[in-house]
Amino acid sequence: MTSATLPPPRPTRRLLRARILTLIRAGAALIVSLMFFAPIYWMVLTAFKSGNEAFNATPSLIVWPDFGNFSLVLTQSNFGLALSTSLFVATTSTVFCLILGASIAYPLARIKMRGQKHIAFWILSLRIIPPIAVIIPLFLLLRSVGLTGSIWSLVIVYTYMNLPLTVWLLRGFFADLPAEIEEASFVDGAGRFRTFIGVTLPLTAPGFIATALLCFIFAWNEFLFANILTGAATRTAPVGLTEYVTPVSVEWNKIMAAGTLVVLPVWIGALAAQRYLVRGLTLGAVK
Amino acid sequence: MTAHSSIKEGTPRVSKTKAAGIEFSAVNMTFADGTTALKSLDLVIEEGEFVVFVGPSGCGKSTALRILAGLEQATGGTIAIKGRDVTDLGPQHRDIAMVFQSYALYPHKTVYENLAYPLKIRGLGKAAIETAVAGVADLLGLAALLQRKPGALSGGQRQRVAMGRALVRNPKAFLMDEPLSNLDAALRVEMRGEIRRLHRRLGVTTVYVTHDQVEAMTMGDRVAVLRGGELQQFDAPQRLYEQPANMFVASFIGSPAINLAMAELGAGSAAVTLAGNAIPLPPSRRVEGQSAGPVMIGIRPEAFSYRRDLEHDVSLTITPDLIESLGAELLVHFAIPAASVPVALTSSAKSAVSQISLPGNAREVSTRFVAKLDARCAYAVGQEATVWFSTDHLMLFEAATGRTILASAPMLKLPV
Amino acid sequence: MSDSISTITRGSHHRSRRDGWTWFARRYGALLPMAPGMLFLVLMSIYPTVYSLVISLFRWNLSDPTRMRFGGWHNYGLLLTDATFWNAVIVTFKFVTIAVSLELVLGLAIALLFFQRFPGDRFLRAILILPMVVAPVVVGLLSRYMLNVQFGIVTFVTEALGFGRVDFFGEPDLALGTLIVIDIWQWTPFMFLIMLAALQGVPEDIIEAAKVDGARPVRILFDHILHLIRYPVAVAVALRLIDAFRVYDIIFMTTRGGPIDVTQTLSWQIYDAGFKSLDIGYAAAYSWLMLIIVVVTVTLVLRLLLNEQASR
Repeated sequence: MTSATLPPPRPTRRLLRARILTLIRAGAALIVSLMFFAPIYWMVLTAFKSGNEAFNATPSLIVWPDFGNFSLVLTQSNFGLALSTSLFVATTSTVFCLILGASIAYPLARIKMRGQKHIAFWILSLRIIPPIAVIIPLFLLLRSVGLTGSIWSLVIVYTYMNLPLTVWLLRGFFADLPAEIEEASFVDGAGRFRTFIGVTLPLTAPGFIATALLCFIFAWNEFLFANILTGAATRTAPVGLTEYVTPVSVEWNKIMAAGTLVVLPVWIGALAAQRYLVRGLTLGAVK
Repeated sequence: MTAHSSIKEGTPRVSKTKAAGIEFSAVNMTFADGTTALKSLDLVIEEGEFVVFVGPSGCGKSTALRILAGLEQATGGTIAIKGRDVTDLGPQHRDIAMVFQSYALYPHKTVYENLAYPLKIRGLGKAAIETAVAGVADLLGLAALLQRKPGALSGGQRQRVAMGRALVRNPKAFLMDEPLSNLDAALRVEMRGEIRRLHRRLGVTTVYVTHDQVEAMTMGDRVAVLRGGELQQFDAPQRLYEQPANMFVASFIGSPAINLAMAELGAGSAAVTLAGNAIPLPPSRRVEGQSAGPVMIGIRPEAFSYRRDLEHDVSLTITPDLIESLGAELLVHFAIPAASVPVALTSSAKSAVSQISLPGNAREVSTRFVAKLDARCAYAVGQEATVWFSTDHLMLFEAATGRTILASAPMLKLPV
Repeated sequence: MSDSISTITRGSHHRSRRDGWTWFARRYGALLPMAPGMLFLVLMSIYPTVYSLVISLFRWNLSDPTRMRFGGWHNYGLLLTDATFWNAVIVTFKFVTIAVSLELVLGLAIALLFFQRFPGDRFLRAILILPMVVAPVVVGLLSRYMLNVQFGIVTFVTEALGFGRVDFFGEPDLALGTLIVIDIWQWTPFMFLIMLAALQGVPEDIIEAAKVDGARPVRILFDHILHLIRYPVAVAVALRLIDAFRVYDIIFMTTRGGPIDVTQTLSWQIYDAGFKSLDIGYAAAYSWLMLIIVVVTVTLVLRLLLNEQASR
């Protein structure tokens, strides 16, 4: 081809204008993103600062990373314990949610029956109730069975809180899977259970992961119930954080280190599952 | 229904030389929302037979197949496969194989794993599975694709994998739900022949669902025409074409569709009057159940000829308003001044075409006809011409029900 | 074998429901797995609802649990005539409406920036996601640190700009606005993500058809795109409304309802009544009124968004 030897064609004016517009948009997007990122940067930065730097009137924007605050937070206080409590509560409630949720969502998505829609909407409507509105009865209920102060009270409450979301999301993921693929498996000789394990589950795994992530995040970040239902030994990380703030001393660098530790795992998870986050957050309304 | 009386007549079924491959007995299906998909379907499919269920969408053909597969539970009646009552068995216990319209391949498994899946579930050993899969892969030309996933295959290749997954074991019956509808036209014709050859080779009872009457005609040993959940006729393709049980079957089978119009049966059933032309009926063909009055007449486009000979003895003077060339033949369109038949008694899509009238003669009573003529006729649009047809090829239907009332015509000889 | 053949020959008289159990199991057996989860949901939702409805009709303070007297609508009457309740309603509505509507507008604006791709957009999008998964407690603490009057970085900035030291949480005129800004910081990304996904879901040929018809970009946005994304917008707004009404954690970590009562939201007051004053009958009645307010608001807003746009 002769074109290989030709110089690249000069961009037309229209193309040039489009490029400049793109540049402007990219610049604006960058500024906006930095504005949203700035507080986060400030938190992480402070977490690496020494006590004096944190209170400096002229803030330093760059510091030498010092992991001292993190090790202090994890060793000197109960915060390490709080983190592991949070991990246990969030993980356990997520597992319960997925098991109970899938066992409701799968029949709801697959089996034709009357009133199916009503059941689905009733479950969804549970999400509209403000937690503060049910906390007193739930508190009294859990106290009457002696569960207040126990980790399990939180596991129960978080499972209940996240179950509507789980059912709604998983139902959508199951409904998206063409029924014919499962039917092919039936015809090939597999029963319902084997089909679910061998065909349905692997094909809806991304949906399960996204749902699990959201359940985990909500449980991990929850404060209202955790503050009321836990005792000294069963504090979750968000509750543990509040204890750093005392009238006598506020060690901001340690608080920020602890805050970073709370936020880090969900950031990693959220970034890894970005693709499914939108669908999850909108209960499947936007894919 | 008269058409499938041949199955029921004579000695009891049990003593027949061939056992029934598949038997529907009074199968009813009403969905939860109240719609009826099947009304008392009775059908016996011989062992080793290739049967096609055909009909317009919503006629119940797919429902019948899904009930046979066990994917839907009939609300009444029984299903038997090879003499075993399977009505209450789930699909996994019926020992049938099915090819789905969407192929329904397992997207997370390789072609090999897809083909091996039904065998693995049956607990076959690794070596046995390998042999079986290799055999099927050879048969269908899939050997080079075994390690790919369905996502990396073309439509035709996916279709073959779907076939392979059905072929890999020895099921009692193959069920196919419009398996070719997602392929392009050329591949569809090729696969049509291939499926027929496979069937001849394996001899396994096959039920094939399609909405395409050409597929039905070319593939089926026998074809079951369904409409609104009711079996219209169950017969060999040639008989469906020549001796349709009613106007619906007549209008559904054949392309271009049969020409239909209102006509008047003369006293004593000696002649029928179409658009002012008295057409004498041959004494060899008796009119059953009606002696005079309005009837519906049917003439296949292929029954027309541009010249008179021994067979073609009745003439019509026409003015073509559109001529389409098929190469060797022409489709000559014209209007005749006769009322159209009720849409409800035909396969609706085709009668809708005959309802269209040109703006100029909108007020006149007219019906569109098509004649398939030899290209040598050299007719031209707008020029009056004569077409001939034989009373042997005429069909008459009862005005109220659409039932065929003219006794069967002798074999129709088509121009080659 | 012979047995089954004789069954078949009986043909049409035969019904598939011969065995009630088999039929029932085939038809409803698959629903059985739903039972534990449904039971859990029903118990956990019905019990608190009924319980809270009952105690809302009682005068019952946990500081004196033996004195539990039936009060009928007493608690509700008390509330509806109480200025602090109406103050909380106003504060909550200010917070919810300003925050959610600004989040919607900002989210849509940012989504429009990101709608056409540019180099590095994926990375920036990932950064923008971060605020909304930060635990509200951490957000509260971080804002307290950054807005601290002595050493906060925002104070450093306001001083540098000549505004002097501003106590964002302490000034009655600023406290609610500050909370709104924090909510906007955390939740605009949520709106952005949904708006972006919604925009990407708009069929391209419609936009192209409008372009060919000669419409300018702004017209295309208002005439076509906003109309086409109204369903995701409605869902996003509804979800944000529901969550904004719950605002509690951040208030707990920062203003605690003050200064005076400018950040006393419904959630905060219910918490106050129930767990500080231990007046649980009153708190329960309060919860019911709040639930009614939330449901009515969300329903009205959904209706407004979906109907008005549709009839345009």
